[in-house]
Amino acid sequence: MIIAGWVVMIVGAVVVLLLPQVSSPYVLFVATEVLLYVPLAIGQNLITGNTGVLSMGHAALYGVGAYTTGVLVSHIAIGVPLTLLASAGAAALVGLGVSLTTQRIRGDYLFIVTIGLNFIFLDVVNNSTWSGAATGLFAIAPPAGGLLAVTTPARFFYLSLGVAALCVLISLAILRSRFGRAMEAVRDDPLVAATMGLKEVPIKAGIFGVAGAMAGLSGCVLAYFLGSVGPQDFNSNISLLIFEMVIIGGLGSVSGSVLGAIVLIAVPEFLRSVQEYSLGIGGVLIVVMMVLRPEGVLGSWRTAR
Amino acid sequence: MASSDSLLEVRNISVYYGSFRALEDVSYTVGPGSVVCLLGGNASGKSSSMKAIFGTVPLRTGSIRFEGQRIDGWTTAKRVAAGIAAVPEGRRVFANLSVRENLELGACTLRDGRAVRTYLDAVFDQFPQLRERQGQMAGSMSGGEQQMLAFGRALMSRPKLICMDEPSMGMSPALVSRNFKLIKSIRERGTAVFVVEQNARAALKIADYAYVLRTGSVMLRGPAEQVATDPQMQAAYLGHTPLAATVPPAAH
Amino acid sequence: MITFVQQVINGAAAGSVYALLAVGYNMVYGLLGFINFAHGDLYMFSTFIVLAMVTLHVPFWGAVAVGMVAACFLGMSVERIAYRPLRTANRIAPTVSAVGVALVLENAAQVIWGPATRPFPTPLPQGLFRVDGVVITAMQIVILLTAAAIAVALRVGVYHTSWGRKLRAIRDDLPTAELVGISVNRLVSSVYAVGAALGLISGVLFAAYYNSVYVTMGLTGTLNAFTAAVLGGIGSIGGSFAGGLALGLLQSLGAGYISSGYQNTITFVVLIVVLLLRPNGMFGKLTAARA
Ligand SMILES: Nc1ncnc2c1ncn2[C@@H]1O[C@H](COP(=O)(O)OP(=O)(O)O)[C@@H](O)[C@H]1O
Ligand SMILES: [Mg+2]
Repeated sequence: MIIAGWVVMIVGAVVVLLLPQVSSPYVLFVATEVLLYVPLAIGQNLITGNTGVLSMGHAALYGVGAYTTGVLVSHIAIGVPLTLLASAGAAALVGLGVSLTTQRIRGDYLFIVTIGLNFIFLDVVNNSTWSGAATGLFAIAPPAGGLLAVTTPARFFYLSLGVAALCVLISLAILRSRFGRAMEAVRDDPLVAATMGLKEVPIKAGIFGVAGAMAGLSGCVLAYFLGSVGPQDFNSNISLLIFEMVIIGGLGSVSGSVLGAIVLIAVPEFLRSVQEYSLGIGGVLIVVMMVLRPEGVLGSWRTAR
Repeated sequence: MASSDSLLEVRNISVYYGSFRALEDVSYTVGPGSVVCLLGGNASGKSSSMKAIFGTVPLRTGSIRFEGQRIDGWTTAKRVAAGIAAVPEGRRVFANLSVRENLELGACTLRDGRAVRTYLDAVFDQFPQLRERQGQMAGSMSGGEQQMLAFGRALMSRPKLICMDEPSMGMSPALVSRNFKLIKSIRERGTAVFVVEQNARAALKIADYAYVLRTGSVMLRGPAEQVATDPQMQAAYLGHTPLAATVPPAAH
Repeated sequence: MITFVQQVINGAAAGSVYALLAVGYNMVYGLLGFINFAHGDLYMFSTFIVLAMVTLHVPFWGAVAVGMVAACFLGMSVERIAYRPLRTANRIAPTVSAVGVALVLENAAQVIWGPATRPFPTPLPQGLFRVDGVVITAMQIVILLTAAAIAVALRVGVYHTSWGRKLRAIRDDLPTAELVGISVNRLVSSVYAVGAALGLISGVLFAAYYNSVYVTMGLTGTLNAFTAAVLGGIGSIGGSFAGGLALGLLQSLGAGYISSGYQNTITFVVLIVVLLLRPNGMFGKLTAARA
């Protein structure tokens, strides 16, 4: 069994690595898109699945990363590694700030407040000159020849793959660490966690920071990938989509989040006939999963809120 | 035992909370106009028995008949409409509703508005204090008055059976004896009473029949005077310490 | 001064629309302690149904009647299918389920009616009056009168009918309400129907006021109404009106004196500040929270 598992993983890894060589440009494009969503789903999963915070503002963190790249690139000739870092940093700071500001707000209220984050983000970029207002920023390209110069679709694919793999590894490492257990203790019962000396506020803020950084990385790659950023790329529907990925994949599960990203991005792309209905089909899936097995989907969530 | 003469016939019921077994193969019979008391230590399944009768917990096995009809598939509302009323544990009145509204809700399964007014007057006649305070919020009354309101509310539907879950819990001796007098007067009007009590000695004095539960099973049953003199009962409950002292008030 | 009065009038009209939507939240929240996240999408969807009927040349009031029946039916179905099985589950589960419902409604509306903003023709009066430089539209008057009438009707319904008595009993103590013989499920169902019907009225007024119907008004409706509910005290029916008006005024004065581009930001900043200062809403009782 274990050997079979390894074989599947190795074959899978080889296929993924060779994808740019064997697939059509369209398949590669879709694969890159899926990979861009992996860090987002994984971050959302850390927040909602493992720490138990209902949050639906992930698109804003994603947007902060993308706009950071857009603004930096249009002002200074800066290489990809630095923009990745700066975008991750900016989105991490926003995530941290959001968590610290809203720490006293109760679970289901916080859900609504974080939806507001999308709207606040859109208000800001739509009404500012640095962000190109409603039209956004254009001609976002890395300097030719620099380190990680992403100029071909294959290179975009590998960059996204690298970022996604990094986020998966970070997520797994966190979950296996003491911090990961602390997150789940806070999720399962904040009162018990408090008696164990675990501090809810810094734990939640930390995880929002990490998830923000991951979203920032994705945003940066997206900005290069599209060559432009605009408000329409980061509206609340994107947040809903990310949230949906994590629920469908199973809250708390890293591999589930990756699967959620694949299902919600690739399936509608390849099954054109269902594309139009993908959000709604996801919605039906969510309701069915909740009604049939709320505990199963919600993993070990035991507390009442 | 096809007892067409019994009012409530609970047969071989089991109740589970998840995998936890609260009642196992328990049967009760309440005859029309009789007083039956249910005794038992803390967490022995007394409240679960009441919940089963009202259908607020599902049955794993067994059946419940009321006036010969199977009621275990019915909604709570339908059971109440059929003539079973509750005096819930912990004298739960609707605190933010007026006394009068609380009483009117006791008759919410009745269709006939004129009857409701007649019954309301009858309850006010029985409890003149409630008439005086009919406009007051129920939550602002004393514990004893709230208990009176809970009784009045149960009487409002003119039920054939009233199920009471520890009506004397936490009450002063004077109020406890008032409760027992009330139960007697309810019986005199032909209404049957199924009452959970911690005060075994007093309960056995007014009851016709008694059941004693232990960890979800009926440990002892029989006519009240027989149960009162049963050696097992003597040892467990009716020694020199009153039951209330040996059995702390139940949490449920 | 004229601007100020003008903004107050505009804000009161918009706020009344929010209030009618917020009532649906607050009634459900007061009963079950649950935020019906799909309420705004239901309001959007049923308003589209009215528009579709009007497009099919059904007379306006007939279209509104159809929309109202559809809204009630949808509201009750959603409760039955997606929320009732989860009433005793973990608190997160119904919230997530509601998100699923919202997605379905939004997607369905998008597929059926498209993403474009549609005009909303109505026979409601469109004239305007000028008083000392302040403009009052006939629609604003219609909105304010409708909201006031509904506020009175709700007050009567909740405090002077047997339906309202049962509703308050459930809100007070659901298990005991069940024990006295109230059909809790039926009443909860009726509350969803009433909430959806008021949502439809709110949607029709909104659509007529701004002469537009669009899919994303569902989510913004959810957010505005929820903010209004929090401002007025979550779970309090009367608070919906106070909160709706307060939010309408804040947005309108914010647009007039700060910037019209930051309406949503103003809404959320207000929401966050209120939640930080008063976790149960501006006028909310601390007992409103339920496990
Ligand atoms: N809702 C519930 N969920 C889980 N266990 C319960 C629940 N209600 C009661 N129990 C358990 O069932 C047993 C019987 O409870 P109950 O019928 O309330 O006893 P009593 O009224 O005799 O004190 C107890 O062990 C109690 O902990
Ligand atoms: Mg008990």
